[in-house]
Amino acid sequence: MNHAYPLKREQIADGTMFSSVADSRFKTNLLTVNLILPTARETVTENALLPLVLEKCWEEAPTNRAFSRQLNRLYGASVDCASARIGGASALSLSFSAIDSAYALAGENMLAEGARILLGLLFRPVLQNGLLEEENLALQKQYLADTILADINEKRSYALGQTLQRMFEGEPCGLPRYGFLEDIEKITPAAATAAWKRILDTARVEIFHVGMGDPSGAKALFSEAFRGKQRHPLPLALFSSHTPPASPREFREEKPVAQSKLCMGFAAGSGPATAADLSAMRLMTAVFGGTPTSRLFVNVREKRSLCYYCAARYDRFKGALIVDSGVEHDKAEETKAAILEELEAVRRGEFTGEELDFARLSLQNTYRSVGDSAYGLESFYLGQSLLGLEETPEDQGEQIAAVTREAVCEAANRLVLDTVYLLAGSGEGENTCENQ
Amino acid sequence: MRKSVIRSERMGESYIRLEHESGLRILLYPMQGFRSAYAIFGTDYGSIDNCFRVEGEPDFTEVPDGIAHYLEHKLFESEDGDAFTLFARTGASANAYTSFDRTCYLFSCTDRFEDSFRALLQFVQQPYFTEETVAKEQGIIGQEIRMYDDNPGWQVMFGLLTALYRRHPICRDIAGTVESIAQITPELLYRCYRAFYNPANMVVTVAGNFDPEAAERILNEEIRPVQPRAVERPDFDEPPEALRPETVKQLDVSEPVFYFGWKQAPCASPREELREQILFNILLDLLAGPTSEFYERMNRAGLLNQTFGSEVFAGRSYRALFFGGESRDPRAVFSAFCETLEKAKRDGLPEEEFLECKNALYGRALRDINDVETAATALFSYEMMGLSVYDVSETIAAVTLEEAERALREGFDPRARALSIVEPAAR
Repeated sequence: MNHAYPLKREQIADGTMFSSVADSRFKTNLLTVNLILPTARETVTENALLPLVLEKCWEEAPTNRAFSRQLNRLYGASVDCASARIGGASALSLSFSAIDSAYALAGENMLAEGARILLGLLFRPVLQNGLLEEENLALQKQYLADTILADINEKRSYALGQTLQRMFEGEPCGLPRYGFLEDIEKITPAAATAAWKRILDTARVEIFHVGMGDPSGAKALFSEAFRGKQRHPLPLALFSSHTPPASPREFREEKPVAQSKLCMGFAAGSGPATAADLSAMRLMTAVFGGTPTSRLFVNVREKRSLCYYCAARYDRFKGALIVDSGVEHDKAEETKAAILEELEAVRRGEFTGEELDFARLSLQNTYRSVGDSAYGLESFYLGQSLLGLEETPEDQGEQIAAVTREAVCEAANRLVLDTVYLLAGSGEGENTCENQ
Repeated sequence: MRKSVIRSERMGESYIRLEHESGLRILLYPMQGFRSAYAIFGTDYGSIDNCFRVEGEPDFTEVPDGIAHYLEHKLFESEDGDAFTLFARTGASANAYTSFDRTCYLFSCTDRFEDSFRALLQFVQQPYFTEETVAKEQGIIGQEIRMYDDNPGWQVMFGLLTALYRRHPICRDIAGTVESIAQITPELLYRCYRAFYNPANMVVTVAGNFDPEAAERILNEEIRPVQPRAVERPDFDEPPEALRPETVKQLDVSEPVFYFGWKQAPCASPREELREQILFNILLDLLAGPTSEFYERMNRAGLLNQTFGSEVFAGRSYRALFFGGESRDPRAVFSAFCETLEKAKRDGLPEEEFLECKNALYGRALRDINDVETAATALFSYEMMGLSVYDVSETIAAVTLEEAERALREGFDPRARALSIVEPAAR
């Protein structure tokens, strides 16, 4: 254990950290500003909107077209925004990804340009009479509304989202990813501008660099921009304190779909798990439904031929394990029973030593692979930084090695079925075609 | 094995290319410092190859739609169990996929590369199909087809393909239909296997953390000598015109989803084909990307949002240009884009923007070989085309504004275009 921790981490201002993994294997650099905020009913919609507004343009390139041309000149650099959930917190991020200066034909300092652009997007948006420009705001409000409505288009992710909203109803983890349609209209230029200032004032800021370049120039630019700013970062409740209901709650929603979607949410314990419990739950998830040799894949898919996908995933922050599957309408009950049977088998320890070894090897492979992708490294070390830990993926792989069979059974026994959601095909309106 | 080293002066890089006696081509690309290795064993065979004649046979054989994909699922099964187990023993993560013109089997690992590599080479060369195992897959693939039935992105793309193509099998679903896969038998699977899983029709690529000498030794031990047999595919005799101007389908979506595009004839020479694809990539970015006047205008009018994108959709025996996204009025977007094209044909292209788009494509091509998975995949794809991945950045550097203007004049025939819409079902 205790592999050398590769992350160079430095506080550059109050509540503002700059971290870097210098890695000469990549021909690129990834630079990300993460703004971490509590997730709350009042701010969830604004927080989903603001990254969309900010990533489009800035003073120096005041339209989306001008800004896109600026990025094309930097060898097709990309700027992306995201708003992800980490348990009860939201991570709003703006990232810049581009080839390194070593490959730039005109010798541009690509990392410094990236930092300058990200800072421009954050602190120098296009303003009109001191407020965020109205046209861009209106376009992004419409886009957010379209995105909320289009949630129904992809049925697998829709069903997962509906399950989480029902399971964590009334809690931060249950708030919809993109907020509420009815809140969007209320976001006037003045309200959006206030939200922009609130986010910059109250977010914990985690800036990450992963790539081959020397980040010192970029770090200096970020330090200069954040130093001296009186900011008031809010405390974060990363872990859910969810308690499961006395008996599982079942939901059924009918839609005109060709395939029904079955999701089962299990409560896996609230608050942070100990390192040993966490590793046990991860290994148990792999044995149960995390790999192509898992119980769900081998028995529910391959042996019973019930579905194309049936998988389990565990979220340490939510304290939840979710199983999801796409099934024939009249096979939903049979599939649900089959999933519960497999869980019972794991609880009773009815899995072979080989199944356990396969799951262990698969997880260790995953941890060892984290370091091979810039995005994988960024996301892993952001997690460590938020938790105040200094573990490497290799350390976590070694913890998996130490988990016993009994610990896997115990982890399975900690699961409580909490919520069952079925998106049921109503059998009508399927694939009506014209002109064909 | 015949060995050569393929180099790029521009990137200061190289990889090893081997040619086995069987005709199998092998690319080895060790990457310093990476923990994982990624290997692909693939064949030049996909969903469009449902009619073929093997050298020495009198007639063409027609097989059910979806059989290449079915074969991919079934090849994972051997007499002793499924291939996933072989990889589970080494901790490797294995997968496979079938596209219109390729079938690939792959794994990634961080340990025991040699065992996994041997397992990959063995299981792909060991078909085992029985009545029972073939029947079992019907339910699983049936649910895979069902899943795509509900997927608007997939449905809108096939809507466009069925509007553009009259005879080319590209317009049929990769997985086939529940009815077509019901006709698949072990005999048919063996027949396709023998035709297309001949080493002369296949490529192996490995990138990342592995010893190339060990890989070569294992290949020499595991690749079975098979008499190369040529496979003839029929000429699809696809006319240049689109079959119909528009298709509309209804699904449970919030807003209309659309694809529009132009059918094109691919070039016979791989180098010319690569050059054309690069020219059209630049044109698509220039005319319809976020930097374009067209996108800005449509976006400000509330007709397009950032779901809009475009691609050069190309493979063995087909090429088309695709544009797709969400819009409350797809027909207005399509007609505005057609006007944009006419104007650009009249006025020519702005040189400065052309150079910016070319610059951007160069950077993106470089980022394409940044990690083990994308590197192995890119090496594989260009080898299948008969090229090297390094040809891409060289060709990008060489294309000119005049060529782009020529491509613009020739590539967008109004008779070869169509629009596909998936609209919200009436509630």
